[in-house]
Amino acid sequence: MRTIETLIFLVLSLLVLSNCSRDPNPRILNDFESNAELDRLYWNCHTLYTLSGDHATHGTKSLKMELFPSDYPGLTPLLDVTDWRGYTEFCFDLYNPSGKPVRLEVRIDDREDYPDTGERYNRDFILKQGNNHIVIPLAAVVASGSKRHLNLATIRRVFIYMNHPVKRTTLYVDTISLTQK
Amino acid sequence: MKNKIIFRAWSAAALAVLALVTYGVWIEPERITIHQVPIHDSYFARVLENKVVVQISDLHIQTIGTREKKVLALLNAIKPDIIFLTGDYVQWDGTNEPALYFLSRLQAKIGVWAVMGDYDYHDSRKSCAFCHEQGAGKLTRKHSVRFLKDSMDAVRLPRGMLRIGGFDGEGENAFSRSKAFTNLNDHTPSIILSHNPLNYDLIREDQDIVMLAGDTHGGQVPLPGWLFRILGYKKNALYNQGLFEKGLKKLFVSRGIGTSHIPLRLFRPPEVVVFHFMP
Repeated sequence: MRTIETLIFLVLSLLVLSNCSRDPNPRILNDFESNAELDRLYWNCHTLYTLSGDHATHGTKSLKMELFPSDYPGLTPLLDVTDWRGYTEFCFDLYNPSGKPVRLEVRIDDREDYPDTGERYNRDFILKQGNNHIVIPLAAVVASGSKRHLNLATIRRVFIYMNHPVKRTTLYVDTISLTQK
Repeated sequence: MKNKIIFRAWSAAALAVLALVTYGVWIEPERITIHQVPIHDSYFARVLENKVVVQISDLHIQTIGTREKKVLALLNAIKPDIIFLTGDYVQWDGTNEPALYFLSRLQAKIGVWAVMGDYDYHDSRKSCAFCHEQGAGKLTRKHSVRFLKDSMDAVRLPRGMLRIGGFDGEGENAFSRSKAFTNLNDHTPSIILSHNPLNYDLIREDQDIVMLAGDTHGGQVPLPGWLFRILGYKKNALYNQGLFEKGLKKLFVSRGIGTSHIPLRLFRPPEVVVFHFMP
């Protein structure tokens, strides 16, 4: 009996904890529901963006991103919200349709002048096949080299990219958002 | 009597200003000049002597009007071996189609190479059309211009290799500008295209490189360098127009063809530049 109670308690705790990152009212930065949203991306060589009806995690559409072999193909959304104070997490959803894990990197700059690696946030993620909900706690957004906390009042750009991929990779992106716990 | 003199002086001044503005807005922007520029360099001369090398910059095309038709007619007459384009083909918030049509009319025996300018990236999604078919990764077939985006080509000519590189325009350049141009140490003649002349400062003085740039429009009106600096136009303050040399490296900044901000040119006529490489 005690074992069952413990198990129930553990399951309930896990359920509660897993929903900590699910802010019921996130600030959605990019939702990819209309063609106009494609104009709110920086279009770079070696990445093709289209809207897709597949793998949406909010609304009905997602962004299908085709990354071609090159240096750093990926996604750079135009940031309407540059003051991230008051939020606790930066989140986005990625669907990896391939049967293999995909390594992805995220870079966040708090300066306009394209800071060097040591003065910006850099982190890589391994995307498993299927849905991936990426959560970056803003308290952990520190510069890779100097370890200073990025100035959340002046977030200038976010890059979600692959580092020198050798073959064409397709990913689906949706619900880029800021959340408050 | 005194009032009459003052009135006449003011009238004369007003007429002079009117004449200058009329000339600057309607006459000089249409007066395309051919600027012959000798470049003395034995390595470049070995490969490019007697070749007709042309630079065009800052077209800022809104429609294919008399100015654009004049440029195309001049190029037909010059019959270039190589054409270099150094960016800003469109107006801010303009469409790309007239510029793409202009590019499709360019012909050169060896080829046409180009870089993008900041205006060309004002709408990054539309900028894809310079190189690609719409919504696809395939290269466009609308023109045969080769756009260099922080990349290089090596061209085999009858008398040797020519290296052509291009700094990408001021789009989203998150990652380091290409360092490939800053460590060229062999004696292969290298022509580097850049919209912004300030990229000249990234090249070491011991590199035998010729950079071609634009962006400044020669200031469009003659102003002293210190005033450009006060106004925040560093590139005009340092490299307004013409040929600059430091050590082995050379920079030529074209006044370009079109105008931006203000549709006026005063004593800074548009130019098609023809280079003559000699020992």
